[in-house]
Amino acid sequence: MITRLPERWQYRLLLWPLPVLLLLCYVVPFAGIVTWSVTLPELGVDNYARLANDPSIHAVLWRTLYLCTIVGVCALLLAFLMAYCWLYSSSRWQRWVELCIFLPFFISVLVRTFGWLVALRNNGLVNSWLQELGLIDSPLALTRNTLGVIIAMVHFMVPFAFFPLLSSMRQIDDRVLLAARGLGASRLRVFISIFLPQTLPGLLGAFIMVFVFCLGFFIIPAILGGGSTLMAAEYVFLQMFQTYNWGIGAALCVLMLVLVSGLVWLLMRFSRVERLVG
Amino acid sequence: MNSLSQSPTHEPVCDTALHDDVQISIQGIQKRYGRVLALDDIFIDVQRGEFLTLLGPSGSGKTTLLMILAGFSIPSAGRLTSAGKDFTQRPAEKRNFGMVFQGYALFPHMSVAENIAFPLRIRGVTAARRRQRVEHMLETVGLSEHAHKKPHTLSGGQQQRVALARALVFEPEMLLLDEPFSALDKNLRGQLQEEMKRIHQEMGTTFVFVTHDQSEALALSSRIAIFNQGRLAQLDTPERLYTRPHDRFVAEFLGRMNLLPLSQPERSGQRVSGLFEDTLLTATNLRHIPHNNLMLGVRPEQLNIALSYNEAAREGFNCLATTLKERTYQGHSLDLTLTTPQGHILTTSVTNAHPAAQARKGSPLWLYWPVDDGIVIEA
Repeated sequence: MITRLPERWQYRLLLWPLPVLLLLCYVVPFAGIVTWSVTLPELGVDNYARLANDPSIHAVLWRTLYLCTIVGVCALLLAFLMAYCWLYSSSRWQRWVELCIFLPFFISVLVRTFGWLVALRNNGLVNSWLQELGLIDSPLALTRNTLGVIIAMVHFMVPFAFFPLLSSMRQIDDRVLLAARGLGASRLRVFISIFLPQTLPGLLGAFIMVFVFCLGFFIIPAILGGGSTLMAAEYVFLQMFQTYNWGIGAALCVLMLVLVSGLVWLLMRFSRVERLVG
Repeated sequence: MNSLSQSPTHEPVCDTALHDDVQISIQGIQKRYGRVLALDDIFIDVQRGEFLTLLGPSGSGKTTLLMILAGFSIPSAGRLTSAGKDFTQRPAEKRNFGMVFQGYALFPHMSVAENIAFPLRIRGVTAARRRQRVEHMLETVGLSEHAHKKPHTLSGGQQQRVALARALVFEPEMLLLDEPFSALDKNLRGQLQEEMKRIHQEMGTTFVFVTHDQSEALALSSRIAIFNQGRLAQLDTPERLYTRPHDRFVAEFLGRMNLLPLSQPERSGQRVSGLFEDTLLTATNLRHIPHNNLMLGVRPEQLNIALSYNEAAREGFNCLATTLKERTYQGHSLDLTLTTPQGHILTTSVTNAHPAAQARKGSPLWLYWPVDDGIVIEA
């Protein structure tokens, strides 16, 4: 039967599963969430009014945005250094960097988070090493606070920033850099005036990707934050499953989605997505 | 002029300086990549204000030498001097040379005007002076109305002009050009060559130009250095290279050349006579060649054709009996392939009006040419 269809229809058939899947598993449930947000506990926009007025929700939102920004900047810095190092090192070194990037990918977030807990807690590896080296007297507070959450989230996000950055760096023509030196620019000047501006789309893209990803983080803040670092996702979870405030949780979800959509629009607008993955 | 006296065989360079004002002296430059010798013992004195072309097939070392001059590559041996000062180790950014890269290498995130202003900005030139210089350069290359465009919106020829303007705006001591026309189509190439020539004359900057295109080199250069397998084969003016090549490589690289091996050569003054097959031929020789393995070289356009021996046998001319083997119609002319009695092939061309144009395949034709036109070439 299929072979009798015109060729372009054959290709369209292959593309169908994706929209169907999106519709069934994403759009339909999301429509449900939107419905809850305006019907639970009763019909109206009370939940959104609470989002606008409740200081505790504002605190959660600001903390989320603040953490995501810090994680984004730190992950970007580390990923930039790694990508730069990859670009200008021998192929053997490049393999090492790739290994460091890829290895964490094969380990589940949960395992990695508990790994960080083991490493960072008061009598954990980091603190005991630092104490043995005599650098500190009493253990540093690295878990059950924002710092621990940031460390683990940055570690998780670096690969996601690495690849878009590397891709934009690889698109820079070596001869353009040589040309700048030939015209009299020092190496530092070449980096600042020629190299860095050309990675800007990559930097922006990587930042938005990391930021959006961080907005929905749940496991890491829940485990390493020890309740002190309540982020949006965990707040939604608490509202829905502990206090059974389904409506307010759903409204927060909708707000987050609007925020993420806005950021993705910015990403599409200012950096060509296909260049980030190319 | 070259003397008949000694010139070491490993240095087949006759440096016929047009005027003796050496700007940069390349002294025994060598470049090794592992076991490969990319450049072997190069000596060139670059004259101030000249248009020097480094010409050779790919892999002959011409680009390697340009990169060493630019400071992007450090030679394995030898040195570069300018006014007696060694600058072999000086980094590229401190050399004050302009460079035009293959593929132009414009800064994609900057406008045309910003690209051209970049070297001035680095040199701390004031904004007002910068604007003035950039405008002047844009005018020189005819791109004034494109000042605010990004490079990728320009055509290849326009990008080429921006690259040229950017490399010249800071009045560099020397301009280095790495195959700047290779990406352009033929018509545009000719046009830009003319412009390049004009700009060279206007600015008076020394140009060192790398190309593998013989006609480009002949048309533009005041001198050409021909490279072959990492060695400098010959350095001379275009005319002298074409009419007086030293060896077979140079002779054949710059156009077609009929080569006739001479046996039992005898030297007398600036002449060498020898037997080709059974004919005694004479050629000019201005150089000392230490061995007797010689050939007579004569360009196709230097050969005259006669239908009879009486017409061809003249005082002061060489005369050679051949038969017509092949004729190829070229429109404006006719290419003839001729063979000698022992089967040696020569080529020449005649106008359609020439009597020999009507000759049939296999008919005898006599070639004759002035003794001074033929040259002695090392086989």
